[in-house]
Amino acid sequence: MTITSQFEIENKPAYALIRFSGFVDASTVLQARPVLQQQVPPATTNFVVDLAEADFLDSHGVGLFVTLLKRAHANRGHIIFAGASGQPLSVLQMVGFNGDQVQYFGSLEEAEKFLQETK
Amino acid sequence: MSAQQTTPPHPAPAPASSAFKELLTGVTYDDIPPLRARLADYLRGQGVEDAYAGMLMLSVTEVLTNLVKHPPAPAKHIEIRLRLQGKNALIDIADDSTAFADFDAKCKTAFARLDAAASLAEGGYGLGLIMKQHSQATYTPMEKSPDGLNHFRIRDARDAAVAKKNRLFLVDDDPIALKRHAEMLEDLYDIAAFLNPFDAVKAFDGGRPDLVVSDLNMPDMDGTGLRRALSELKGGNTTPFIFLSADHASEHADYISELGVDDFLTKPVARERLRNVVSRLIRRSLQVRQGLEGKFQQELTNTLKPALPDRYGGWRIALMTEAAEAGGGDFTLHQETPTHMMCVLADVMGHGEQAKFFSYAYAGYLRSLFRLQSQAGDPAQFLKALSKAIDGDAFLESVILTCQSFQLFPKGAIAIASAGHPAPLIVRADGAETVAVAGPLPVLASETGYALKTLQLDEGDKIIFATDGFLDAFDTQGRSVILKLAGSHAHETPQALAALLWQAYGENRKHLHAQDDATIIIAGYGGQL
Repeated sequence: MTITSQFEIENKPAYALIRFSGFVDASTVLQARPVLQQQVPPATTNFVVDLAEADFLDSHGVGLFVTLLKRAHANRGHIIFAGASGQPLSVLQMVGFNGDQVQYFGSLEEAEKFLQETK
Repeated sequence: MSAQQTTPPHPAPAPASSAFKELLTGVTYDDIPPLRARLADYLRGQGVEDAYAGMLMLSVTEVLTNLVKHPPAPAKHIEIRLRLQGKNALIDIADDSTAFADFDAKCKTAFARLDAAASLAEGGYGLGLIMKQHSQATYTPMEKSPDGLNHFRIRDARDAAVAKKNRLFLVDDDPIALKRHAEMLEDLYDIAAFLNPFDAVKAFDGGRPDLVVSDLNMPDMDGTGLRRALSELKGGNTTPFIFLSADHASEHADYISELGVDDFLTKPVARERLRNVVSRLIRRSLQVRQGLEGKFQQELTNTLKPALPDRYGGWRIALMTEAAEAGGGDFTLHQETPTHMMCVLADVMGHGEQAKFFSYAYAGYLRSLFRLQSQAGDPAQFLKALSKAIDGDAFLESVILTCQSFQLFPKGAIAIASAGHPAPLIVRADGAETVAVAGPLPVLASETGYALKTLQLDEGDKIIFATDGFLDAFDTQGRSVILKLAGSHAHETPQALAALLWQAYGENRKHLHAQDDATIIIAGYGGQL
């Protein structure tokens, strides 16, 4: 169990990549939400959330992902979870984070391949 | 762009002990990650498997985050205790913040909120996650706690690490496909894999699955045959069923849709596609089951609803009652005989669906006993007969019930006996007072019996019976408030007085956290109609 939380945002041509490592909880969301608001253009269609290095997710993290899902909904895009496993994946499953606009892939590469194919 | 948040280094983990204990003086979001790390160290030291440790850390996090986020008066004192008993943990988080309101009501909707993709709600998942993960979650506000602190308690009853996982049957005559699909799902579900559909049918009764995934084309018994065979077993028809087939055209065959199959997937199926469909169907099935259970609860509530005739001889009777949606259980019984009317007001203790079910079972039992006793016996004899019947009955002994039995005679006489029930009040023209009638809970008095109190009421006098749910709304001042109110309106009819007291109850019940059934009965002799 880590006691650090780190996130990175990268705007790519076809999607915004948000990479989390360590924990994703209320304290993370408090920092990440305004940064996302500022850094990710409103017209962004697809969001790739890389959770390969995340080891803990709570309901506040889920709330942040719902914000991204709403933006994807509005722009007819997808939210894609890459590399989610263990506790974070269990939480996403428990809250019913799925549906046509939600995709899960084992790695970032697989997620990118999916986005290229659905262009 | 990146941002890094690093919490202060945490102290070295305490040596493994029987319990994890932390005392915090106030808490902020930044305090939670290091506490979670200390808890992780403790759980690892105790050999708790990762999946369960993750569940416990999530629940502790959710409770603490709530304590930071919501109470108008934040917690200054927080005690966290986690004790392991075998494979199970007992968590107790005590705090001195403003108590959560309407916890029981929130629990009822918490599960339904776990549908992020459909609701698109950006919050409100915390309590549902706690309830989904654990066998029991309870909340006791500080005013009901002996130590003056709020207590959030979580308890588990796992008999194995796989407890709480939904169970899936995978059926496929191709061992490679069966293994591949099992590997796609085994981290989330308890998998039972069958190469032969007949074995799946045999195993169904012994370990009923939450969902079946079956190949369509198999020798001897194909997928449709399996679906039909399971449909004939108890619960088989309502178990979600998914077909897997390499033949995409089969999806549209009439015989498939007639079988009531929940989904059809074409082989080869992608891991995430399979996981998404299984997750969606299990959640949908759970929602349907909860909906049906809610309807059942409502029917039980309606069946138990207390009722008495509004007059008997020279008596006028008013009854006001309110049922908690799921929990407790007040009910009445009455029977008129040539000489009197015998009545019972009973209150089965507890909250939640289980208590409602116990009330229903108890009401049925009491009704039978009551029919036998009400002709010949008096209220004390009825309660003694009840105590004797309970003595040695494991089910009845496990349920806490208070009971007031009273007998109205046409010309104003009344006989009363009480088994752990709040004492009644008598209202006369010059004021109101408590009637001294008391007795032990039914389970405690099989030999000693009960005292019988008899009174003769004058014209205009009234007697008030109330259950704990009604009195609790007035907090510790309940009895004196009611005595004062009833005494100052002694001239009112039973119906008017009941309406006044009920209005006062409605105004005071707002601060109640665990809603219970509430009932008052006012029996007035003669006087103004």
